[in-house]
Amino acid sequence: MHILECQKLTKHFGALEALSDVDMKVRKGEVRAVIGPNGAGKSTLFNAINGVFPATRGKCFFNGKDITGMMMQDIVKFGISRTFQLTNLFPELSVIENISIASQAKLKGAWLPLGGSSVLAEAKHKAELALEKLKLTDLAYLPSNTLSHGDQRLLEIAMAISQDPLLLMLDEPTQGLSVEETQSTVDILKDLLSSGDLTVILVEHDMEVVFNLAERISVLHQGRIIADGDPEEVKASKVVQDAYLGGFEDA
Amino acid sequence: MRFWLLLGTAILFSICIPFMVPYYAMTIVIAALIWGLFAMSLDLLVGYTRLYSFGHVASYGLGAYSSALLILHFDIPVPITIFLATGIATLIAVPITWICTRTHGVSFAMLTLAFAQLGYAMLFRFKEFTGGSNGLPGITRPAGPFGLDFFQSKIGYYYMVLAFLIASFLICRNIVNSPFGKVLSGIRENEMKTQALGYNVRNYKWFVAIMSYMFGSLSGALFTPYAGFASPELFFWLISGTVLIMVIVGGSGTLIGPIIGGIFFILLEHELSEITQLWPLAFGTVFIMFVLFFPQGIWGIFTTISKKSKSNPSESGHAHS
Repeated sequence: MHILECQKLTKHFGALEALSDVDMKVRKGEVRAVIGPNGAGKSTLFNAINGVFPATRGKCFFNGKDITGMMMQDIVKFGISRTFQLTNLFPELSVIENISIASQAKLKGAWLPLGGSSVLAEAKHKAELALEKLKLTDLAYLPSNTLSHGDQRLLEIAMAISQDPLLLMLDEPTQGLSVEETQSTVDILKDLLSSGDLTVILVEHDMEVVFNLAERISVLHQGRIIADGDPEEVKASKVVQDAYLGGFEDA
Repeated sequence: MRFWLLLGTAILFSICIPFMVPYYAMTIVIAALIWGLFAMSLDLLVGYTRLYSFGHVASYGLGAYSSALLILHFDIPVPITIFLATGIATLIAVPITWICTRTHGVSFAMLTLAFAQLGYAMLFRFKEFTGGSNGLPGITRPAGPFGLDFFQSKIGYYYMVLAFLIASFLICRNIVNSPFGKVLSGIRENEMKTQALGYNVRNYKWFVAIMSYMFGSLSGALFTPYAGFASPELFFWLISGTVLIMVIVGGSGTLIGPIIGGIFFILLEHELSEITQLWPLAFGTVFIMFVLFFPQGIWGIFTTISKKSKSNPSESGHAHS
């Protein structure tokens, strides 16, 4: 059973075709990495799937339901949560408040304008669980803008997983991290994924991270999927090597 | 606990005010409370959602004219008039705020200003109804229901305004501390992220704008039976700026701060206007000083000092609001 299926997903920005006929199928419980040189369309793919902007053409199915063209806030309700390439937080709120707002979104009565203390308590409880999973508990009451960059990246993941998603989309979780931070992030993510229920799509530049985490890799190049397979296949692929070398030369 | 103690003290103090100040001064005290309520209503938008309305006078004017017309044409008892007028003004705000909250930042400010100006223009367009530039004089305070008439006296009216202010404050406080209020703080900090987390931010902004207009029109509705008239000045665009300054000087995002800001400015205006014609100059100076040196406002200074003197960091997160 495929939890996510994209059919000929295409996105134009004016004359630029950022995504062309992308077909992608992700199985339930799979950890999928999407890699590719800069400007290959990885983030565009993310944005088109989870409704930051509508795709120009093509369809997206999640759990058998057509989610094409839906707004970002509605897609979350189906069970897709994501992080962003550039850290995207509530800077002046504490770590626990950041996560509570995230987890509250999936609760009944998230909109209650009066009372609702049980909703708040449940949101906070979920936030605490997410904090534990990402080993951020000590930082719970600090304003999120005082955290190190690495911890902010983790906080964003904590916000996403506090929503108990079926599909977690991580846009470069180790972007801008030091070697040590990257290692600890990978360890934490491995821990998180060990249960195997969660489906993950991961955009990543750091190949070590990719080969450490991913079960399957899709390679994007100039908006097209040029390779798709398990890590060994992709590593050996001639097309991929060419694309990457070509990509860097262009840049 | 500390909050209720403070609130209780403030209420007790307010109840005693008519016994402490001369009778004529009550006029200005009532105005101060009405403006405190008006400034607090704007804080829901400015302080909690960071939506800068430049047309909040629309809520005030609509409330004021609604209650004036209800009393003039139907002679409805004052407390009922105030509820009805607030309801009517809020209903008018529903479509207007729907349009305004489709936008962000400067466009939001400009749209709210435009709608307020539209209201102002309509006062002159429908002269027979609104009295045009003469306004509507001769607003009384009809007695009832159930033979109630304590609010016909100035002191009685003061207590009624006080009751409305306290009730509004408690409701607003409940709103900003509710799940809904948490989402507002998300919108304030990062609207796009809030949407990405699964909230329909437009509806949240719409609803808080309606709430803000509702309490704003309540303050307007309280004004006319107190002043005895409604005039186009109650719809004048400068008021939107004045009330915004009250919110910022009082301390935005605290509810209590803007109430203090509103009261402070009305009393200041009263004192200064007796001394000099140039009192708006002092107004401006105070505003600039606060923006430069105390951006957290009067209430912000107060809470900072009380936190420092207590030096108990574990409690500090809980203390305010």
